[in-house]
Amino acid sequence: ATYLDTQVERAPPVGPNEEDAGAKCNRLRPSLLPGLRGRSCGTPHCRSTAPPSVFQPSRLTATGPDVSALLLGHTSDTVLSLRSVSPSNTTGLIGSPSCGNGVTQWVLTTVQAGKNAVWVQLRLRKNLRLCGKNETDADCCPKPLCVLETLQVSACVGGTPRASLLIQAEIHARLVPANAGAGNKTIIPNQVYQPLGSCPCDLTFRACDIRCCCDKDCSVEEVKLFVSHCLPGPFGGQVPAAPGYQCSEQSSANSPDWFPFLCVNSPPENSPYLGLFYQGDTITSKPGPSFQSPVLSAPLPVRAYIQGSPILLLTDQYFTIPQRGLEQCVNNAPVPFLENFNVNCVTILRSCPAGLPLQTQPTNLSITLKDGQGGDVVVDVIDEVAIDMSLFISNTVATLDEGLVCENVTLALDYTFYWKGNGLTNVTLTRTVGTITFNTSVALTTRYSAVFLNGDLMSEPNSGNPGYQVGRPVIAGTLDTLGNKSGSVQRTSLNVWKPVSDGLCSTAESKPVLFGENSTSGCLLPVSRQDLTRCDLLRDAVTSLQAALITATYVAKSGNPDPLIMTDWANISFVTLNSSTTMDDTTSSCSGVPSHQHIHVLSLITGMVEGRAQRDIHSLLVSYTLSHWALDCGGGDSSPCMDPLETKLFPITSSVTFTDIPISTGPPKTRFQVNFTEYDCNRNDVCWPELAFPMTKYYTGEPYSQSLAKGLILIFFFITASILGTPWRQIRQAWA
Amino acid sequence: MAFYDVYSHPALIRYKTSVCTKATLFLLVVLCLTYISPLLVAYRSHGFWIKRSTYEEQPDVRFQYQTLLVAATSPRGDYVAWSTFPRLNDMLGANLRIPSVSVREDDHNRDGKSDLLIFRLQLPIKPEEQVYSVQLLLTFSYKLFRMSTVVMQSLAYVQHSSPVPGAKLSVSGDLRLMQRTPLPHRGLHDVYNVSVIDGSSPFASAYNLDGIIRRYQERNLTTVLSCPMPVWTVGRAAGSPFQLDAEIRLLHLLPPFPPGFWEPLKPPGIQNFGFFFPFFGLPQGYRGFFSQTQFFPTVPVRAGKAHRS
Repeated sequence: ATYLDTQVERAPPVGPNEEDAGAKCNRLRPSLLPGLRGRSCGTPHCRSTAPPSVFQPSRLTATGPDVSALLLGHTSDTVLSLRSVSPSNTTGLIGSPSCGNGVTQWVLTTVQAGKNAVWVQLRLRKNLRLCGKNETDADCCPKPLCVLETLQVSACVGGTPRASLLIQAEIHARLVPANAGAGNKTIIPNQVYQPLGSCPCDLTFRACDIRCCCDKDCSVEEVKLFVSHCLPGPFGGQVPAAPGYQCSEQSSANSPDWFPFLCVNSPPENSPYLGLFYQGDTITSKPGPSFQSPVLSAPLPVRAYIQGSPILLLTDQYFTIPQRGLEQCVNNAPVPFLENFNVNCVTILRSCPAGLPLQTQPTNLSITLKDGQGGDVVVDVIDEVAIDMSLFISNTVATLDEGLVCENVTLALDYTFYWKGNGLTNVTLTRTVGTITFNTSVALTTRYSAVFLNGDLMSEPNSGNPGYQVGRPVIAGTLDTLGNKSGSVQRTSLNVWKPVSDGLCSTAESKPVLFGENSTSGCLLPVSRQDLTRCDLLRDAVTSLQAALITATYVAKSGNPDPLIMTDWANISFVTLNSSTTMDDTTSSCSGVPSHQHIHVLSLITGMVEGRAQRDIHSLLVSYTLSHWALDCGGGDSSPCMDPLETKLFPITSSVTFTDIPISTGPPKTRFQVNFTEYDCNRNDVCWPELAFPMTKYYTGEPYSQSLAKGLILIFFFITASILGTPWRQIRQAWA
Repeated sequence: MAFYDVYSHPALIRYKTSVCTKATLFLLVVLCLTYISPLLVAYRSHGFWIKRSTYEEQPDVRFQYQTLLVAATSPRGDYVAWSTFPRLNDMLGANLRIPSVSVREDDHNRDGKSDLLIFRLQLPIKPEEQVYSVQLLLTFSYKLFRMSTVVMQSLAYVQHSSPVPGAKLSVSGDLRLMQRTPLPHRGLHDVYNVSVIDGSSPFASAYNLDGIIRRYQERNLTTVLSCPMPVWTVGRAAGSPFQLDAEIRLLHLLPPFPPGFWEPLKPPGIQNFGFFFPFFGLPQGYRGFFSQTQFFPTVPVRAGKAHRS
């Protein structure tokens, strides 16, 4: 039972203008009007009964105590009569309208609405509250379905009916006390028998909702505006009248011929959606994930630092350095123990910075950290002043009138943490400050780094133990003939070009060759016509440029070479490749310029350490490709040929290739194995090793032990069947 | 004179031999031909064993309400960001901008599994800022039940950038399952039921998008947001926020898996049976022909006599 005493802001489902909308015809429930089945308002029957006057609409369904309709046409001498009708038992039709009045529980009133229109209203004279137990008062509803009848209103002129209005009344009892309906409160009908939201699209109180054809606030004229665009489905108030299995729902068009044998006779109170026995039970719902409240947990106090634990201040707060998070620089990021980092942060400055981290004071930086062993350690701050501002400022527009001058901007913070065991022993910070000048805005690059050192300084790392690791630099060396370490090999590195900014060789840097990574790079050399007239000088210049990349004569065979043992080192061999076409030097061209340097490293697997292959360098070959440099003056660009000092850019390149020397394992493949691929399951979908597929290693669906067990069970059944079968009997006979 | 059969009856003749004879060898060859040759023919004609199966299932996908958002607000590198991780928001400092987010999970057919996730985000933008690119990361919990029970945490990543500052990005796509290896055909598979983003980590490196994506892509089982047509709307009205609308459909899918032990055995049995009948008659005919002609010496015995003697 539902009783709502709070005010509900919505249109009452049962109101005085219950049947305003002319579009109600299609909601007529034919189950209670079998005689009218198949007819509709649009048929000529409705109008032809009394051409001068007509009811609009001519059929109504009443679910509340108030019904109204319009009588249009010649109304001056019309007398209205009301009677209760019922369909004929034999034909199912309702008798023709008559002018006799019957005894009903309805009051008929008329209001002149216009010259040719009369507003016909019917009001139920009955209290709709449900009778209590043992109540004998007549003015209440004994059943939940309180009123179920068909009314006929006839408009008679001189004793002959001219128009008739059929009203099907199906009114449920109210579950609220009679006095609760007073005031502004909305009356909620019993939900078990009547859906609570009879018109879900009626969203605005006392206003017509557009396209909501069941909205009782809409006048007939308003409904006409959008009657062909009514909101569909239950949301538009178009609930299906009765379930399709009801016998009363049989229509000749849609139902199958066996329908009369299998249809259901059920009282209309029995809602197919809620049912008579619906008690409104619910089950508890499981809470799913949702937005969490942002709880910022305080850092846990640590006793001893381990790898990855945050370094804390004395106040048990995080020690922070700007770092990268979300691919951007974030300022107060905690520092993990034993994790080095080096980040560049780009900040767009439009005014001089005031706060951290661009303006720092040595007193703020010289803070005390927990050393992880119960004590504390103070950060030593060393100040440096940046001279070359090009490292920190990019894409600034050089203007003569420098607008802003910002002094003592912190450009870099480089922390060095010295650690031992579970704690820090010393922390030094190199702070680089500088003065930046700019006009409107500048992109300032600041650098932050942290390095954890065990001991005093980082010794030169090896590139593997014992074999080379992929990605580590290739170790080269020169024989030290001077000094006290005579006979030992001094470590250097093999380099390739690393072009920067404009890509010219004069500014290009070099980067070490990394083991296992093929690479190529180069730089550009400006050459004028004057240079091309002196080819020997040009060749020497290019050769020295290329030779500067490789100063070493030895390369380490393994990743941890001993500088004193010469067998750990292999000679680097240099080869100059002759270009295929030999051309002579002319006035504007030079041949035989070693413009390309190629480093070819041959590596091989020398052994396995715990299953990991160890790769050593077998030999290293540096070759130079000679090329022909000539000025190309065609195509209108003749300036390099005219002006002897005008330069043209020629490329100088270097490249590295690593080649594995494969180790031969087992005998070589025979011609049969190469040509006949029936046994190679990688090259053939149908191959003989997979004949018993579920029992082989190619099957991955189950562990091998399980598939073996199931296979053995299968074989057992097979053998049992064959023993009990014919062949075994024959063998027994043969031995007998 | 015409002759006709008054009566006829079959006479059973048994051809007997001992074990170590040529006839026994011949019988073995015939038996092998009868049973092995249909196997070989069926095997050589492809499709003998089932090696992969698929099945259809709608996954149970739930939005985990974890979000990372980065928006570039100038072509020079200014940005604003927001996440549901308080530790990261704390680190972002002045670049933190809290959007208004509304999330709805729709279940059209009321089967308890979400069919559609509607994610709407409105990011407030200063008058001097413009949005040039958006990166959005959402996390999901993903469950499959029909064959093996798969439980994992997955993510969807939306990225769009444009040289023209935008007002709105509309994304409508499918959350698809990506498999590098087949799923097991039974049991519980919860290797990847770990957080994609370590929200408990205080360090900035835990929230780097490239690290999150790289770790995620190393997995054999992932989901991707397949959205081939994002719509970038330009022309932001003054004072209005940047809007991001995402509709993510959580559709049916067909994850492959290797079948169990008994499943591959079924079709070979039918195939063998199909080829058995053509191969059954021929060796039996050979058996009859060679026995009757006494090609291999045997002892023919009339039925009945052997028992009586």
